[in-house]
Amino acid sequence: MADTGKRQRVDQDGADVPAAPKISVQEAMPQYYAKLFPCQHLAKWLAYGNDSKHAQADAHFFNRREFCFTLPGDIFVRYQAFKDAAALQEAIQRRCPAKIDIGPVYSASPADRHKFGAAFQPVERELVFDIDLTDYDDVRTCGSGGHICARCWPLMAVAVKIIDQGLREEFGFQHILWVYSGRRGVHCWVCDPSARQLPDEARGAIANWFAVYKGHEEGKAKIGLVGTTKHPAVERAAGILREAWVETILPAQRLLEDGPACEALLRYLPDEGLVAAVREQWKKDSRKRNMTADVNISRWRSLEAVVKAKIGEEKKSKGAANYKALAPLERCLDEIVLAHAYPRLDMEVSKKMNHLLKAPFCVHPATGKVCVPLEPPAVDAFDPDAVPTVGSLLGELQAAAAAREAEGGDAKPPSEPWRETAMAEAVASFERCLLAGLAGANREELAQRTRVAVAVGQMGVDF
Amino acid sequence: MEAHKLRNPNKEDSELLVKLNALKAKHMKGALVPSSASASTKEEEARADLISHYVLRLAYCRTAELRKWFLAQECEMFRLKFSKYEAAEHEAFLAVHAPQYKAVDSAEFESVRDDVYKVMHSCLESKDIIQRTMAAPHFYKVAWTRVPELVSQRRVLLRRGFAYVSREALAPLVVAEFRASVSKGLSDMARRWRQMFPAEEEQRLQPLVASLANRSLVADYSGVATKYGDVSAASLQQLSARHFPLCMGHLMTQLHAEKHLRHGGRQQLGLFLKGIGLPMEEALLFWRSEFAPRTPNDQFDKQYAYNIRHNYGREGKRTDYTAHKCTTIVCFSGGPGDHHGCPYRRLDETQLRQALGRLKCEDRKIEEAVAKAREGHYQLACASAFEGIHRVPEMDVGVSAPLQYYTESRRIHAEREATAAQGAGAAAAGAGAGAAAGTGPGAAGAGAGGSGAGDAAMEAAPAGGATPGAPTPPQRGLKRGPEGAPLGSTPGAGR
Ligand SMILES: [Zn+2]
Repeated sequence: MADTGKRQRVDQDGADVPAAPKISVQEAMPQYYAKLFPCQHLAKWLAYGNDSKHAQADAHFFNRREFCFTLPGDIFVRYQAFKDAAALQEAIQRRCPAKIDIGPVYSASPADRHKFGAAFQPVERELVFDIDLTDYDDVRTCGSGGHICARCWPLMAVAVKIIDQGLREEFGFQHILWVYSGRRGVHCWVCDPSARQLPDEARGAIANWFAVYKGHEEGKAKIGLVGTTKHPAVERAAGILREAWVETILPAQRLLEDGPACEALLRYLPDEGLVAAVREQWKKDSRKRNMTADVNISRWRSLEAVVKAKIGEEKKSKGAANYKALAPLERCLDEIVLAHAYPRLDMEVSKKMNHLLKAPFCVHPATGKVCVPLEPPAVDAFDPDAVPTVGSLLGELQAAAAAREAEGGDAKPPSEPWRETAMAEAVASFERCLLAGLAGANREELAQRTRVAVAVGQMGVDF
Repeated sequence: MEAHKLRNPNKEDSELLVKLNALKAKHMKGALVPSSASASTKEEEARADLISHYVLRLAYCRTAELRKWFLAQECEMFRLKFSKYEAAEHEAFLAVHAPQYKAVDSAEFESVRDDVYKVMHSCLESKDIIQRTMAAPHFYKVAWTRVPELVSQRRVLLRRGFAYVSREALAPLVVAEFRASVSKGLSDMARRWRQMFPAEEEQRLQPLVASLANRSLVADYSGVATKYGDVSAASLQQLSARHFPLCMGHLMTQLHAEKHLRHGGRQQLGLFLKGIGLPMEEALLFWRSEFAPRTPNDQFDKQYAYNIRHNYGREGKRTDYTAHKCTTIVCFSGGPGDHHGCPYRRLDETQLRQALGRLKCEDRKIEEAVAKAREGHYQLACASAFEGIHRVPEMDVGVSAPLQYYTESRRIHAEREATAAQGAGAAAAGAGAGAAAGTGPGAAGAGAGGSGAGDAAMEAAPAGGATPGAPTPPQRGLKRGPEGAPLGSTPGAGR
């Protein structure tokens, strides 16, 4: 991230937004934290019901959570702890961090960690995932590094769908929050009580479960497909990918137009003869090509047809029992799709309880974009260039104030000023995706504690 | 009854089984009967096996080391036997010992049959195995967190948090359960042995049992006792009050009061702290804070830090020094400003009574200890004090080293905690809270160290009491680093 810390001008080119003074993201942050940051909602989430009057609510629970502030100049202040939402809000406004990370809940308040030595340990933490488009640089043709656009978003969209569905259907999790990271990726927070309590070993196991893409080797993605039958979880992902492949990814990324991407893709075909046959077919197609069809899709269809014809031919000549020769052929189409579009997770983030991850509703210091929630069913339609920025939100605040002024200035602004901006929709989404479902889970978790406490009480043990 | 082959006709396993049988035959009359034996013989075999298991439990329950060894042997034996069990025996065993493994009935199996088949295929299982498994499917449903290895390698079918595990894949899980249950049984038995056996029984059985155990293993306390991982600078005062023998507790008290300790005392206490598993960094932290403010930081670094690192083998000859045993400590005689050596020898009777009184030793035992010290039996005096402080009838082995005193104390405490925790867990399950009772993979493995559940309880104790005070003072630990650095960095106070 070469341009981190550089002051980027907040774009103010929207014609309907009144001319706000041009200020940098960093200069805008005090106002953002004072009026736009939904701190109460964030704290509500992280308290998991322990802010309630319930007999088993642990009033110190929130205070054992680590926050890490990144102050301007990339100064990290770790082990921040706050007793409640108000204390968090106060500190955020006072220190105005460029970024806020959320860490685990520890056995004691992070502020007291020195007192406890080795007894100070992380005890619970959401299961998190981090998917970043920079990890797709070898398969995206529209840009690289910090770049993101509508053409590469389909890669993120399909990743969200695959991981979300796997977490729900395979692992049985329900309380899952997806967030746009503000720049070139997405974050996922799994908040079920059972997910928060997973030991590192189980976190590693989940990360490995989803790690079908295992990095690169000799210019090809390592996709651990063997034999001819895929594991049902991989098959499920492949089903989602095959559909997205022809509908969005292939045309958006133009992977089969002549060029290095196309050459790289053809290397996944198991033998040179097949590559030659595909090229031959494409040449034939170009003579009689229907100009309205996307060339990437028509080329893909031809490639599929050539591979399938070859499989039929092999089966006929050598018999279906010739499993060893057929397997690479039968796998290669899926391998191409998985290699180019299967979610590429940052494994380390998921494996350890004590990894930090940027909080939702942070503002990306380079882009000014707010880390807003993403709803998996609507992820295809999500436009990373249309998310609210600190500049656009401040503009909306001014517009609302101006409107009130024009009507005589009698109306009062709402106590939470963000309700008059696009932040209201982002917060509503946060409530829909996470808080609404968590309310019941929190009650159940506290009730569980009551049952245990009652049982222990009945023991009458005097230790 | 029809003869059946070992499901897993692995040569090494078979040889091992023979060896174990021989070993068992040496101790006991009963050996495993060939599996072609008649039903009544089999029953007899099972009975003999059960008796031998319990007699051996009795023999091996008495110290942590013996328990650990016994546990390993029994688990290996169990693994081999479990692999020969037949379907009905599996079901019966699981129903009793591991009800959390739910057998998947045929209707449910049909709904996952195709996917189970695909999983086996995708793992390149052999045609034979797939065919056999699918012809007579015996699958169990377990929380996925119980099978992290299978999940990690995608070798299992997952549906809504449950893993469908074949009987073959189940064996290692059941062994883990068995291990936990034997481990708990051993701890219980050790406790009961000490508490319940009448004196005459004790006299009758004690030599027999002791000789059984001594044939294989004698505990050695010259090494370290680091199995309790909660030892840190912060926990030392509390550990000292509960678990340290008087020779070490006395040094802790003097150090704290005088903010200083002379060389002999520093060595005696320092090596002991190392022995109980205090990491070097924590040791430096502890001594530095105890010596402050009398010794400023820079003076501490110059005069004392070297010696601490030296004891940990990080300086000079890089020898790994071990803690002193009683025989060494008793011989220490220092001047008036020295506090090391054996307090039962060095303190006068009034001081000794006061010191033991502070440790809440029973009055009767204080007098016993003072009397024994007067006669010059310092180690016996220490054992009396142990009994009086821990409220145990008789310390079976006597005190031979401070580390042993500490380990025994921790073990007793951990067992009491475990009993309380297990009772609580059982009651919780009864109240319909079974789902939460240890679904993590740690739950199965926790029993490994004889009193594992107790260890966990111990470690949880300081954390539970660590509810933080009200408002947090602003933390000013500023640290610079490249973008992204905090994401990877582990907390400084953790390991
Ligand atoms: Zn792009």
